[in-house]
Amino acid sequence: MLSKRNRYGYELIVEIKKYTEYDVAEGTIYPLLNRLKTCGMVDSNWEEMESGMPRKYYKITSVGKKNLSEMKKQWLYLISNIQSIK
Amino acid sequence: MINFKNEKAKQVFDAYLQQVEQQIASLPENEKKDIRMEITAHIYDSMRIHDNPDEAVALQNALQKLGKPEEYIKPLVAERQVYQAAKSFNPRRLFIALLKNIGNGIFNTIKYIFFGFLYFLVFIIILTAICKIFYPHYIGFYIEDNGSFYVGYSYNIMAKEKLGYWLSPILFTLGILLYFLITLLLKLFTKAKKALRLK
Repeated sequence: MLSKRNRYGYELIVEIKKYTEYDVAEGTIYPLLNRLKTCGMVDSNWEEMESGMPRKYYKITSVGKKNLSEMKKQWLYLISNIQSIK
Repeated sequence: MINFKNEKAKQVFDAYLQQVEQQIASLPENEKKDIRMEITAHIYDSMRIHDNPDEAVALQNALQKLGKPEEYIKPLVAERQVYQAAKSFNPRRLFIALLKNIGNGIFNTIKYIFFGFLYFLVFIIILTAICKIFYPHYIGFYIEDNGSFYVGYSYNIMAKEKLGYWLSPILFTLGILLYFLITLLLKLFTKAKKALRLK
């Protein structure tokens, strides 16, 4: 999701809920984002909004993109292995 | 800050933020502000999207979906604390931070038990250095007849002690050096960007 454009925490949760049926506390996304930030996968910055409520936007870094593409490869490799076992 | 029209909603919001404050009390002010602002923005967005005419009900729904602060802030604070503690080189802060992170996910638990073990080794080295001062005839750097050697307590009266009182300053220096090295490693592990790259 972040590889398409920068997003803020609540927006990410709304997107995740669209594609999954997991019902977890929304707050749990923040430790995950913090971990990704600590690892240098994402970066964040505060942006002023017209509503007056600033939002913290997350963006994927070059390290994050590299990892994402590597994980996609590994995932596809895993799927193809499972399918060949069938 | 959210401008509530409903007094009850404002009280509920303040009480929730109070719980958040308790969880983040150990963090530096700039990090506290960051977490406070992000949670407030989240509540604001959640209330706006679900747009309930009753502000108190809208807030209650938003808080219920967000979860209890102690559940989601604990891991967030625990991870930030390790980095802060490693930066300060303060043994007490390091000990507390490591303890808080054990049980915070399988990877973290293994990682921090490993670092806990390394710090325990440093503790043993320093303790041996102190014991040498009080029990100089039993603690030392011994060499056995067969050529094997060890540092610590010896029952073997035939074993030859080689360092004498020099053992204490040597072990103290070694312990302190190791402490700084392990803490630097911990700091790198918590902040390392390159270290976690996949190939």
